[in-house]
Order: sequence, then structure tokens, then C-alpha cells
Amino acid sequence: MKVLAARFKYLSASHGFTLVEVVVFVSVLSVALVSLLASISYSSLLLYNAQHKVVATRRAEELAEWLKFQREYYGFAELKDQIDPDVSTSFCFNNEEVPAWPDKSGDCSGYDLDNFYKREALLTRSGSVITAQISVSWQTLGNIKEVSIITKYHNYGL
Amino acid sequence: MAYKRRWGFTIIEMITVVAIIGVTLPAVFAIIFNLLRLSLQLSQLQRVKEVGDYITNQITQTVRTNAVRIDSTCATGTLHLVPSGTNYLLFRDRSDTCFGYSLISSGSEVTLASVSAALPIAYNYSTTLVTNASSDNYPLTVEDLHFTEINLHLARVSFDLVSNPTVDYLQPQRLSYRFYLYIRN
Repeated sequence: MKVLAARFKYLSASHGFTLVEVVVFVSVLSVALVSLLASISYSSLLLYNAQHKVVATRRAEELAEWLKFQREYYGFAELKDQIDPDVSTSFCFNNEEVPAWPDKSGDCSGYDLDNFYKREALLTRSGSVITAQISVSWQTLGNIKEVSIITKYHNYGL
Repeated sequence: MAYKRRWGFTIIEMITVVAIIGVTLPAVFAIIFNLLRLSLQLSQLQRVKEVGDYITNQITQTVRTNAVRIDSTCATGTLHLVPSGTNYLLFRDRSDTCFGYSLISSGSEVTLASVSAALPIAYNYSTTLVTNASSDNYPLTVEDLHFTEINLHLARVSFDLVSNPTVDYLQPQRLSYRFYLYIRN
């Protein structure tokens, strides 16, 4: 017993850990845990953003297709008439199916498209070219994220 | 017995430690699992976008390059589309060959495919655009497919492409595609 007690002297000398040891251990552990949680939450945020970006891109392309159809079917002049001369005109295309031209109401009031996105188009006419800047935006944690595409529609006699 | 109560932890201490670990570990694993689930859903959605864009480009380019007019009489003529009444869109090309797009069921699988009359000298347009393969982990299905003939040189195509995962912890991912086909040849 004596031998054993001598052997574990370093244990028997103290009843557990000192305060400094505990503080160091807890702080190292908490730094590790907090950084782990931070990286996990940041990557899930990035994943959500990537997911929204895919859908937003599709929504923007859809509107670009619809504008192209307007030129093909109704003609360039009709498309041009929708736009105020000399100034850029913004339209809100928050409706799902894009059935008709919205009022020249300007910017969208809310994130109504799929209850999450906002789809706006800024159309500018100059001569025989119409420039459309389509932007689909959404909110993440108070930040506004956006996907934007710019298309030009030319008049080639349709 | 001087060292009687010196080493080791009491049962209370052990229970506390095990309880804390027991509470935190599942929480951490739940968060990590959620992360994996999100990334799987993202890859699903990207696959939907990839296939949808492929279908859009394939149809648009083929029609733009080859079609001279929309011709629905092809269905009863050379193409013999089965089953009849399926939503389809058919064109004629310069060499009078019929080709078009339709949902085709072969066996248990439904495919969105390009079909064409099997004339020996004509170019064969037949190709499968998307197969609703049941063996896939994320089978893609084409829903609400509508071909609308606006006039002889303009048609509208709309469909939803949905990825239905075979496991229930992943949500289905859906993208709507609507585009127009113009014929200027």
C-alpha cells in the first residue's frame, strides 16, 4: 500500500484539478465549440444562398424569355411603347406567370414572388435597342442578395 | 486507507458529465446532419437546373436550326405518336421530315423525348431529353408539360421539372420552365 501511495503521489497530492487547469480547459473547449458552430452556421447560410441563387437565376431567365417573346409576337414597336422615352423605366414582375405588362409602378413593394423573391426589370430604350436589366433579389438575415442579368433586344424588322 | 476517497469521480460527477455529453452530442450531430441535408438538396436543385437548361437549349437550338413550320398533322401521318392525345409539338424541316417533342412512355418509364419519322435518308432527331428513371436516387419528373401552338411560327413550351428524392428527409426540388420557340427559316 505504501508503494502504491507513493506511486500515485501526484494524484493523492491534489483532489482533482486546479482552478487554472479548469479555466484553460474550459476556454480551449469553448473556443473550439464556438468556432465549430460558427463554421457550421456559416456554411448552412452559404448553402441556403446558393439554393436561392439557382431559383433566382431561373426566375430572371424566365422574364428575359418573356420579354423576347413580347418582341417576337407583338413586335419591337410594341415593346418599345411600354418604355418611357429618354428615361429608364422600371417594372415589377412579381407575378408568377408573367401574363401581361404590369403597371409602370416602378419598384416592387415587397418580396411576393414565391413569397420570397422580388423581380424587377429596368428597361431603357435607345434607337433600335432596348436594354433590360433584370434583377431578382431576396433577403437573408437582413442582407439583400441579388441575381442580375442584362439583355439587349434589337429591332431587326419583326 | 488514507487514499480512500482521493481518486476517481463520484457517481454524481459521472452522471453529470455523461448527461452533458448526452445532450450536446446529439445536438451537434443534428446540426451536422442538417448541413448534409442542405447540401444534398442543393445538388438536387442544381441537377434540376442542369437538366432543365439542357432541355431548353436542345429544343430551342434544334427548332431554330431545322424547323420550317409547326405541323400537327405529323402526329397522324408519319410519326404515329402512341399514346395518342399526348401533349406534343411537331415540326417539319426542309427535307419534309417530321420531328417534334413529346412525352413517351416505354415500359414503366416516362421520357420527354425528341421523336422523328424514321425515314432512311432523313436525319434522325430522336433523342431522349430526360428519363424518369426509377433507379436514380433523385428521379426527375416532368410535370405540367404544355406545348401551345401560338401560330405557325411560334410556340410556347412550359413544364415543371421536379426532383423527387427516394428518401423522405429530403424535400422535392422544383423549377418551372417557360420558353418560346421561334421559326424563321
